[in-house]
Amino acid sequence: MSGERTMRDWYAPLEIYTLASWLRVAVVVNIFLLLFDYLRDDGMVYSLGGIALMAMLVYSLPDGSKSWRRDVSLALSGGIVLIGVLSILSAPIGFVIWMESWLVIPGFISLYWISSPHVSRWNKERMEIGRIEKGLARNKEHAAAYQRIGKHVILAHFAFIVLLPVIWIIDISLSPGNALGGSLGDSFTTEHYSKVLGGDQFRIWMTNSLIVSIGTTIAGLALAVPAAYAFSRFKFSGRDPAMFSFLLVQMFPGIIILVPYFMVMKTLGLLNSHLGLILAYSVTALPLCVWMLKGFFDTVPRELEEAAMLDGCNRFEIFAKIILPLSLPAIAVTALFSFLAAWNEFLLALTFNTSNDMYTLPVGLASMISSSGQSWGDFAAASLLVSLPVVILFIVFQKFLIEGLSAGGVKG
Amino acid sequence: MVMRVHLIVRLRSFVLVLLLILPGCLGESEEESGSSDDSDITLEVWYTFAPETLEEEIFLESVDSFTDKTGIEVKATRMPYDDTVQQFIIAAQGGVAPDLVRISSDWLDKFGEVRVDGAPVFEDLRPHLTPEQRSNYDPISLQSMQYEESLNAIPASYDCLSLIYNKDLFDGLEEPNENWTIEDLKNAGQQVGLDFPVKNAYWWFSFFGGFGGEFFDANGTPTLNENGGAESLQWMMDLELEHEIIPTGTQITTMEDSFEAWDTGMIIDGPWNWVRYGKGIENLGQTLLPKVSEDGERLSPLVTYKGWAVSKQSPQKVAATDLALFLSSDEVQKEFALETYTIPSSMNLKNDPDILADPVISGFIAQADIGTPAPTSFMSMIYIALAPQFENVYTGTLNAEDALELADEQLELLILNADRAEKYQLIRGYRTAKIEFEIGQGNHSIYIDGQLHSNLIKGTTSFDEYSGCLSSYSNESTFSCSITGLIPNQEHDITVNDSTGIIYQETVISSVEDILPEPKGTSGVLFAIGSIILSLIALLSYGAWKDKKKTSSRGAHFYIAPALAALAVLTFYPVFYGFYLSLTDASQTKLGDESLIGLANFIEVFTAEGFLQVTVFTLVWTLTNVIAHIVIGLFLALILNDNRIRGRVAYRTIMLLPWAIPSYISVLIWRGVFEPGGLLNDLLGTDLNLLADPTGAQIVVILVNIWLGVPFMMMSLSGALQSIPREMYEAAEVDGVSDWDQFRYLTLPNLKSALVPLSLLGFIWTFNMFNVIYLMTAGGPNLTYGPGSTDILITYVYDVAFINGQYGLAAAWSVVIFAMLVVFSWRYMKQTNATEAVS
Repeated sequence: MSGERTMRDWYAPLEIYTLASWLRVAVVVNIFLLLFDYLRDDGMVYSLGGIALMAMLVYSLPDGSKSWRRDVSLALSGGIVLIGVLSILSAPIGFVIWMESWLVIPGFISLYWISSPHVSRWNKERMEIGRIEKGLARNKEHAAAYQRIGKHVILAHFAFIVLLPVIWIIDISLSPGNALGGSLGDSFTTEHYSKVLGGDQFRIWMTNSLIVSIGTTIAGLALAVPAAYAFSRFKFSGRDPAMFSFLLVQMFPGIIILVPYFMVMKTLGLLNSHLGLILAYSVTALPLCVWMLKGFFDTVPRELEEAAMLDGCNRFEIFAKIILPLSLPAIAVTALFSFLAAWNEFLLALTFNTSNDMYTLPVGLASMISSSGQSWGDFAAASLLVSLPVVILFIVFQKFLIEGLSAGGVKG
Repeated sequence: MVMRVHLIVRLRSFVLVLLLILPGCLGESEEESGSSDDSDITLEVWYTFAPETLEEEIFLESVDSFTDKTGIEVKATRMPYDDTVQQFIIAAQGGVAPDLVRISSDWLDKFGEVRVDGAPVFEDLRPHLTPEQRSNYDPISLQSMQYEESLNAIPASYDCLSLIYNKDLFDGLEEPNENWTIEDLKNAGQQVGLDFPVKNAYWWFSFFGGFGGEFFDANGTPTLNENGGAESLQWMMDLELEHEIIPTGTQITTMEDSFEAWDTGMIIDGPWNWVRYGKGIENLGQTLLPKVSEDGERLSPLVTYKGWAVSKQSPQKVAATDLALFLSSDEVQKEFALETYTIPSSMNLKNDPDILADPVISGFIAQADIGTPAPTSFMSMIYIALAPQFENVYTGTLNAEDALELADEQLELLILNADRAEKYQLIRGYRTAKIEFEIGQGNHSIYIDGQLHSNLIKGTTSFDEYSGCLSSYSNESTFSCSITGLIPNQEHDITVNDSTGIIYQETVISSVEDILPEPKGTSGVLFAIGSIILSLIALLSYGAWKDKKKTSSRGAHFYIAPALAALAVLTFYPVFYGFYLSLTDASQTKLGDESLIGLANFIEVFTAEGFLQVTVFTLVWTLTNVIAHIVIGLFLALILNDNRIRGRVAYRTIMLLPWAIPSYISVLIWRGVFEPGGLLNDLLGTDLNLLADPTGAQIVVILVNIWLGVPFMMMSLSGALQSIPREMYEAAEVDGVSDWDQFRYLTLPNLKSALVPLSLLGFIWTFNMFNVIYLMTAGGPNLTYGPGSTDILITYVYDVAFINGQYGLAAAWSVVIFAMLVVFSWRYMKQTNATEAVS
C-alpha cells in the first residue's frame, strides 16, 4: 500500500523531469550569453528579463497537486517566448536570433509540454495506480531518447564553436585576394591551394614532416612503453625521482635554453637531420607518454599477469598478450599525441634545420608566408592542407579508441 | 644467480654507453672532415625573398651564374623574413652561422651589440673592399650599412614608402602630383579613398619627418615629441579616427587588398608590391608624398637598405665577400631594378639610360632621395618605445603629446640601460698591406694586379687604416698607406701612377690569415654529456645493485634506461646550462665571456616592478585554463562515451580539429576573429577592439587557449573512460544507482590514474605556454614599457632574453619558474600518490 502512495507522490511525466533539467541548462547558457549583450551594449534588459522568468519557471513547474502551478508555468513560458521575439525584432541579425533562440525554443517546449494532455491530466486528476504504472513505463521508454536529444543539442553547440573559425578559414582559403574576410558568397577560387601546392617544395616538406612525425611516434612509444610498464609494475630504488625527472625537464622554459640545446644537437651531429628532430620530439613527448601509459597500466589488474605467469608466460609474453591489448586506447592516445607534437612543432624545427630541403611543413609554410605581411588566403589554404593528414589519421585512430575495448570483458 | 644479474646489468650498461657515445663521435669526425677540405668551396647563404616571386627567381639565377663563373658552390636557404635576425643569432651562438645573409639596415642595431665568443656576428668589410669598389655604391647606402664604424654589409638595394594611386579611379578629379599638400591628400581621400596602417610606426615616420621631426637631438636625447611630433601623429591618426577616411582597423594586408580590389584609390606603399598591383590595375600611378603646406617641407619616408652581410664565423670570407659583391653588382642590381622595382644602390646605375627611362623606378628613386635614412643605432628601440604609445593614442587613452612624451622617456631609458659590447679590434693586416712611396706629380692612382685600387686626391686628409688609401697628405714627400682587398698569402703586384707614369712598383704578400673567433667549443658539451651519461649509468647500476634481492623488480632499471638516457642526453645539459647562466651576467653582448655574479640576478627578479603582476596573471591564466580544459573535456568525453549517440565519430573528429590544426595557425586565425575587422564584429554587428583592452585581451587569450586545449583532454579522458569496464555500470544500473552517483563513485575514482598526470602536465604546459600569448598579443596591450597585461612569466622571460638580450637575468627568471613548478608538482604528486605502483 505504501508503495502505491510513494508512486503517486513521486510519479511525474517524463516531460516535467526533462523540462526541469533542460531549463536549468538554458538558464546557465543565458547567463553566459549576457556577456555578448555586454559586448554589444544592447539587449541586456531582454536577457535579464528572460533569465528571471526562466528561473521562476524552474521553481513553478507543475507538481501534480497544485493546479495553479500549471497556469503560472504556462504564463511564464509565454512570457519567455515573448521576450525572445521582442529582442529579435529589436535587432534582427543572425547572432541575436541564435542567442534569443535560447529563450524562444525552451519557452516553446515548455508551453507545448505543459499543455500536452499527459501533463494536464496528471496535474488535474488524481491518477489511478494502473495509469501511473503505464506512465512510468512510458517514462522509461522515452527517457533515453530525450537524453540523447539534449546531448545532441549540447554537442552541436560545441561543434559549432569549434567549427566557427575553421569554416572561416575555409571561406578565406577559397576567396580571391588575401584579405582577412572571406567572400565565398560572391566568388570562388582555388588559387591559394594551387599556389601552396604548386611548388615541389611542398612535397618535400610534407615528406619531411611525415618521416619526422611517424619516426617520433615510433621512437616515442618505444621509449615510453617499457618505462611506463616498469613504473607501473615494479617498486625499485629511485623510482619516484626517476618519474619526477621526466616532468622536470618540461618545467624549465624551453625558449631560454634553445642555444645550449642547439649546441647539444650540434655536438651529437644531429643538426639538419631527421633523426635529430625525431629524438628531440620524442623527448618532448616522453613525460606525457610515460605518465599516461603508467596510469593505464595501473588499471590492468595484476591478477591477470600472475595467472599468465603461472601458465608459463614470460614477462615479454605477458606484456605483449595481456597488457598491450588492454591498453590500446591509451597507446592510441599517446601515439596521436606524439604524432601531433612532431607535426605541429615550429621553433625547434626552424632552429635545428638550416636547409630548405630539411624544413618540415610548419617551417616551410612560414618561410612562404611571413616575408611580406600576412597573406591570409595562402595562409588559410596552407593551414587546412597541414591539418588534413591529421584529421585522416585521427579517423583511423578512432577505431583503436573504440574497438580496443572489445577486450575489456576480461577485466575487473 | 645474483652474480649473473649483476653481470647482465653491466653488459647492458656497456652497450648503452656505446650506443650513446657513438653518434657523438661520428658527428665530431664529420665536422672535422668538412673544414679541413678546402679544395672546393661551398658557401652557405640565407636569403629572405618570398618564394616563387620574381625576386627569388632573379636571385637564384644570379647565384647560379656566380657558380658558373667562379666554380664556388652556393647553397641558398630561404629564411622566414621575420625570423631571420633571431635565427642568425642562434646559429652564430651555436657556431654554425651561414657565410652570407641578406639583412635590412634597420636590423643592424639588433646585431650590432651581439658578441659571440668575444667577436661580433658580422665581418667588418672595410679591409675586404678597395676604395674603388666602395665608391661604386651610394655613400648614404654605405653609411646605412655601417654600425658604428664597422661596415656590416654591402648594400644591394633600398626602398621607401611613396604615394601609389589608381588613375582610373580619379575620374575627372585631379590626380595626385608633386605639388599636393597633405590637405589635398585628405580631400582626395574623401573622394577616392586613402588607405594605410596608421598604427604602424614605419608609416608615421614619413609624417614625422615631414612635420620637421628628428629622432634625436645633437646630444643624442630622443626628441620624438618635439618639432611637430605630436602634431604629425594626431594628424595621421585623425585620418582614421576623426575623418574616417581610412577604414577602421586598416592593416598592411587590408590596405594591399582593398587597393588591389579597386576599393580605394590611393595608398602609401613601397615599390615591393608594384608588380602585384600591376596585374589588376592597368593605370597605376606613383608620385612623391605630399608637402605639409604650400611652402612647407615634404613628407619624408624612412629609407631602409637591404644588403649582404658576411658572417664573422665564415671560414671563407674572401669567397663570401666576392659573392656579396657579385650580388650587389651593377648587372644584378639592374635586373632587380627593372624587373622588381627595387632601387639600386649603385652609383653607375643612377645615370643608367634604361633605369632613367623607366618612370616607375625613377619615380621611386626620386622619392627615396628626399627620404630619411633609417638610423642604424637604436632603430629597434624606437619601435619598442613607440608601439605601446601608438596603442594609447589610438584607443584614446592618452593624447598624442603625452604619449610621445612617454615614448621619449622610455626610449631614453632603453638607451641608457642598453648593454654596450666592448669594441672589437680588427685583425691588423688581414687582407691589407702597407706601402710607402715618394710623392710624384699631380693625382695618384694605385693599382693592384692591374685593377684600380684607389685614386689619391691631393689636399684631403682623411685616413683610415682599414679602408685603404683614401687620400694623401699634401705636405709630406713620402706617403705611407694601406692597401685593402688583398687575398692572404697571394702575391699582388702593386703599382702607383702619377701624371707622369709609374712611380712605384712592388710585389706584396699579405700573410696575415683570418682568425676565426675561438668557440667555447663542443668539447665542453661533449664532456658534459659524457658525465651525464656516466652518472646516469652509475645511478642505474647502483639502483639495480641495491634491488638485487628484490626479485619482483628485477630488470626494472633496464626498462627505464632508454627513456631516461634519451632525456638526459638531450635535455639535461641545456637545463644545467640555464642554471649556470642564472648566476652570471651573460648577455648577448658577452656570451661566452660571462662572469659569475652570484645571486644578483635573483634579487633583480624579485624586486622587479612587474614581478607580482606577471605572477598573478600567470596563476589566473593557468588555473582557469586547466580547470576549464578538464571540466569541459570530461563533460564532452562523458557525452561521447554513450555509444547510443549517433554520429559519434563525426563529433569526435570535429572536436579534435583545434588540436589537429597547428596552434600557431589557429592562434593567428583567432587573432583575426577578434580584430576590428574580424569575424566577431561581423557577427555581433559591433566595432570592438578587444585585444587593445587590457581586461578584454586577458579574457580573449584565456578563451582561445581553452578552445585549443579541450580536445586533448577530451581525447585522453575518452581513452580513460573506455577502459572502465562496462560491467561495472551495468551492475550499478541494476542496483538503481543514479547517474550522478555513478559518476561520483564509479567514473571519477577510475579516472584518477589518468586525471592526475593529465592535470599535472596540463598545469606545467599551460604555465609555460608561449605560443598562444605571444602570437595573440605578444604580452600586450602594453600601456607602459615593461610587462603587458597579458604577459605571463614565460612570455616576459622571452622579452628579457631576446628583446633586451639579458640572458643571465632571463635564466634567473626561468629558474624561478622552474622552482615554482617543481614545488607545486612535487606536492601535488605526493598528495595524489601519483607515483605509486600497483601493489
